[in-house]
Amino acid sequence: MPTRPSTRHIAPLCILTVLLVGCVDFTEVGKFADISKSASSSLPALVADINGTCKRRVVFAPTGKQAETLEGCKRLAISKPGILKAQQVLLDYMAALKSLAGDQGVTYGKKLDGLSDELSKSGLDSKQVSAVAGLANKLADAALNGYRRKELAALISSTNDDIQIVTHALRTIIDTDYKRELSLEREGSQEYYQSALRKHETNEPLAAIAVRRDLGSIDATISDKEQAADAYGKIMEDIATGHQKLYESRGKWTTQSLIKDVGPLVKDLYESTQKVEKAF
Amino acid sequence: MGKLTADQARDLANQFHDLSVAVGNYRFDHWDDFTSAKRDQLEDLQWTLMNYSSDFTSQAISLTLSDLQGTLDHIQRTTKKAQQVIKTIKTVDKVIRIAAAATVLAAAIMTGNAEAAIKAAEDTYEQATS
Repeated sequence: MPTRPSTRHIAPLCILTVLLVGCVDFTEVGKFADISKSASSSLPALVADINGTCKRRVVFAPTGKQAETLEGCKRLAISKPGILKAQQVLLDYMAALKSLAGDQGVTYGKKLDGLSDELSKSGLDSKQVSAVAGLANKLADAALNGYRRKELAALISSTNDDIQIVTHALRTIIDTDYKRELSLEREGSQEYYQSALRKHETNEPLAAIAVRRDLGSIDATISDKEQAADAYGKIMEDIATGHQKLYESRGKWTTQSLIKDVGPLVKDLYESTQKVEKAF
Repeated sequence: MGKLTADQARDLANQFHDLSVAVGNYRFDHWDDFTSAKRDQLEDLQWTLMNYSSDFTSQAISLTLSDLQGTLDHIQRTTKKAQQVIKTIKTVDKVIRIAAAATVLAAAIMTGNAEAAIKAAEDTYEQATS
């Protein structure tokens, strides 16, 4: 008859199993939230261009319309600090999410790595050293991850509705309003240069070539900015989607589920940020 | 007439934008049919429509930001709380390091090696105070 394992033998195994199962790697959440650093200069530059595009349009206005157009730009400029603030609130939140998810806030891994050396000096053999140091690491991981998971879930749960609202608002402002302003800049430049071509192309064919080149260059710059605006919209969409997924799966996060839910968005966010950086 | 909503302002901005484009296209499509004065008049009209579009955009953005104020305040408050939690995690990290170092001390004592135990005790103190 097989001997029944005693509770004394099973208990440590159970505890270790629970600890190991409870360990969730939040690296993907950290990567997902890591847009603040790379975006800190390019996103504000894009927002500032809402007023910039209007001012560039003034140059193309007929003399009698320049003052009126410039007044409109001033009204548009009033909103700039508000948009920048809304964006900064979102970036600050993402930075906090990143810190809470891991790597910067806590340094336990490296600190505990050093313990192995000290243990080897204490007279324990290498297997014992490895076992004690390994257990200490697992305990630290499990305890901190449990704490982090609880706090991350609370944070994400408390802000999800707000994050959806803010990302949608910023997306609309850039993706719709800013792009409309860019379209007006294109229309103004087209109107200015095409009028000049219609009036003078026959008499001044060489000058017309330069005018067409300038017009092409302006159009290409506007296209780059339109693509950057689309990328900005995608960044906001990805933040909203990722946050929603984290919200819906809170309480049942596993390393695998986090990789599946937010992993693909990390690459998207990086690529979109690169596009914005290219134009600004 | 009541105040516009952000969506209504946005809709008007789009309509005036499209109208200005239509006037611009009409002007170029019939360039040779018009006198210079008529072309200038259409150009002025086109710019007036463009500027109206831009003004409605200003209103749309301004209204969107006003609507957003309470939401932003809540995110800011929550972010502050999260930053406090991050500080707490650093404390938790320290407590765990002390506990882990104490495990090492216990292991050294169990070997009966006094020198190693003293060294481990010193290290425990160092871990706890660093």
